[in-house]
Amino acid sequence: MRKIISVIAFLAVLSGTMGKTFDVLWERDDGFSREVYEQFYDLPRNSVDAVVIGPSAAREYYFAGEAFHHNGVVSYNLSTSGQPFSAILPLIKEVEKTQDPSVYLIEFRELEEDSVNLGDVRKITDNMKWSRNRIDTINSMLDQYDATSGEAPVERKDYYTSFGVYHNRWEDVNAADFGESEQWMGFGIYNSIITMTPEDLKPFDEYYDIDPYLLGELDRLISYTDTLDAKIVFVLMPAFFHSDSRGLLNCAMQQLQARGQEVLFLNPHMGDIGLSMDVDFREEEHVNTYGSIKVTNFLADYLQQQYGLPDRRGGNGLEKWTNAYEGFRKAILKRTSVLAAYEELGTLLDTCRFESTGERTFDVYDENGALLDHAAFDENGKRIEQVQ
Amino acid sequence: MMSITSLQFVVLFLVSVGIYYLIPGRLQWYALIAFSAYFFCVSSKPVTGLYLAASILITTAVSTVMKKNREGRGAKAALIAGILANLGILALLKYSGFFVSNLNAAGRLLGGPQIPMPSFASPLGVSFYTFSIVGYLLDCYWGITEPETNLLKNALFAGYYPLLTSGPIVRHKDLKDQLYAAHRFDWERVTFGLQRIFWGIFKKLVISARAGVIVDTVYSDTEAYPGLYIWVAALLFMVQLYTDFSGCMDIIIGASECYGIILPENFRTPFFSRSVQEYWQRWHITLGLWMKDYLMYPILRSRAFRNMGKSLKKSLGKKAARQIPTYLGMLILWIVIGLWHGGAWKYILGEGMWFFACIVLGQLMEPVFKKWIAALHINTETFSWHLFQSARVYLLVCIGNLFFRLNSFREALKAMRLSVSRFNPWILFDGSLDQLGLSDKNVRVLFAGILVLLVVSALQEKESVRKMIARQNLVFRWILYVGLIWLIVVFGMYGPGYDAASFIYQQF
Repeated sequence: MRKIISVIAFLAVLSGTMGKTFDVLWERDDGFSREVYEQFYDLPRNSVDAVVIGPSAAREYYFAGEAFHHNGVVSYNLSTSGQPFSAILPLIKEVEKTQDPSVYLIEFRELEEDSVNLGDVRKITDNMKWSRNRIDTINSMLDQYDATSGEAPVERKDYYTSFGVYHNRWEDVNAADFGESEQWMGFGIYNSIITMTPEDLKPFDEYYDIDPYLLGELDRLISYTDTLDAKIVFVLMPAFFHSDSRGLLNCAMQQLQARGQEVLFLNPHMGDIGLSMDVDFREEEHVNTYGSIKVTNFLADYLQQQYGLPDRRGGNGLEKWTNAYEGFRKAILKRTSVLAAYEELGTLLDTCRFESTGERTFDVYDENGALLDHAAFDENGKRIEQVQ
Repeated sequence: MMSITSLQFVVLFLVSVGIYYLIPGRLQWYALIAFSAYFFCVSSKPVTGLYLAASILITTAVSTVMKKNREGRGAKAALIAGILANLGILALLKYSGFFVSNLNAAGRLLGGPQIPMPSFASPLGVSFYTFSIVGYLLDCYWGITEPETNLLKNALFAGYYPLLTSGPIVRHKDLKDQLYAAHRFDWERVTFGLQRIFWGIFKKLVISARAGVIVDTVYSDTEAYPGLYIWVAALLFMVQLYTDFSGCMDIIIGASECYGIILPENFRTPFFSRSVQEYWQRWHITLGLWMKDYLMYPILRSRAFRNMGKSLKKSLGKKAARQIPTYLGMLILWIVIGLWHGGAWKYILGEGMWFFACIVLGQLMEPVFKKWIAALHINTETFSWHLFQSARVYLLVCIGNLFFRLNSFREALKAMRLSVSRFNPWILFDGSLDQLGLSDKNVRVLFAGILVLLVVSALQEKESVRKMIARQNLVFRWILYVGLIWLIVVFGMYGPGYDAASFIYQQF
């Protein structure tokens, strides 16, 4: 008996040590993928009324804490950067295991992208709980990779376990890996800014056929979602698309409509959303955090008005949403002063374009693209560096 | 293909140990056959099992004949047939390419026809089990062990799965009572076995895999890495080879220990050897013993050699009569050792003739060396002298293994030429070693691992490290065990992108 107790105690010590080690070495990507899944699995059962799924265009555009604060919509954003379209079906199945949302908002930008980045696959599967569906998710995305990459088939068992990849991070471990992750449901702050011009916002005149494999995936997805009680809305978040993307996404929208799906294209609603071309984008295809707050509030209102999602503010067991919002506001308060200073700079140099080169540093270009200035600000928005 | 450092193997092994101790003792050896068959099928092409099956059938048939006709001529004929058949299979699988390539080379010189190169898939561990079987047949004939007529028992002796990866070469008389006997769960034995497995994995994944990266980088383009680079690679290749092969042995012996079957040791801290001869008594011990018992001694005792000794005594005197047949026997032995490593001249010359030359010259020069030592007033009972001797052995072995590692004899000679073509000692200090495929942090881990290995090896010279640890307090022991596993998990080179799983001696 003593031996058995000894073995159990040893295994407990070993598991504790390894658990902490895994926790430290587990990759925390810039897109907070780990937090997205960790906090999803921590949600109370059947607590959310809406779920957002998609790539970075969904992850960076919608903050569930903000939506809850805005109008009491209880939602969750289960999106990660570069999420392949083929991940959506198994992820909805994952949601359905513990939640019963009334609406799914599916960002379909990845219908234009037939290729799959294997790193983006890991952002999803490494963070999913062990289940049959995790294997299905791996297979679904790697099937897309195998079908579209033209490369040798990927060894799937490499994706069943994650530590084989992450243990090599020991070389890069730093103090941040030992810290607690931010509890904003995987939402991050991106306060860099790029100034766009109205000419960048072109209509979708082009039409290019999307990959037949992706059309097959779309059909599979719709066959499944047709069996659900939930309403499915295919959303295309506001962005400045290049010609190829416009053509492919135009095709995607037509295919969705031909299949009787509801499509919500937000570019025509940029005015309603209140998006500024001067300060609300961090790059052509992504809004920054300030832009995302505006998009979130718009979508929260849309969900409430169109689908009657209730205002659950003041309800029990919803502290996660309140805490996420408050934590986020505290963090962003530090940075709004930077934005104010930057906007001031923008006013002074009305015709210039800005590109952020770091969290609080910017390059200023004239309309011909010549570099005019470098600007850096401290946390309080005070300009601390001026070159030239 | 399943590697013994893979998660798949760990699961198979743990499940098999669980089953092994849950079933009645009389069925345990049947379970080992089942585990071995499964391991064989997932570790090599199942069809190659036919070669192993053929060897087992032949061996059982020969054993049966020998049992019935122990002293008669039938036994001798059966023995010869059994040995020829087993060695014939080995020769077909491993040496037919070598034989044909030499025939073709001769054909090109003489304008003869060219024969297509044969290509056979070899079963796992063919050299190891063939030598074990040949040794067993000879032991049966000499009456050292009892002929075994049970086909399944012979199947387990030849195909016991821990032995299939890289040996050791076993003797039937040492193993038979353990293999087929019932074993009760022994706490100490199983924990010792597991400790040894983890130590082996540490050697393989933390040290060998890292050393291999530098070695591969340098040897893949010796012209780009001349001078000291080649010496660094040669020195590290010995580290790689030792930690790979002995790490594999630790896993195999540890795994077998968990079943209650103690396998012979294959290594005894070889780099503390003071002579090349001693090195070969500490490196791949079971191969050396096999060669001595089944090749060297029978040759020296043969009528031809005895007659040669007599005639030499008359013509050249006692000393020559003793030395010449011995050296001739050694020459044959070292050619066979070279050939055992593979059908290529680089093995015969690098692994065979080089060491033969080192040992024979060492013995012939011994009186001269003794004179020098006396003249220089060197105290040979000091640590510094032992260190010098060990360093000398290490260097000589490195040169031999240059032939082992590089693709051909010609490439090895080129590398030797390049190694003295450039004087570039600064590479040790200017960060050049960090540009050989390993980051500076990984290079530090490699050298820290080698340091740990040296400390453990030095302790091992005195007594069993596992017993030493077992005497310590629980907290200290657990820190060591958890620390070892932690080091493997974090610093081991495994996972997607790494191919450190296969063992160098697995090819034999």
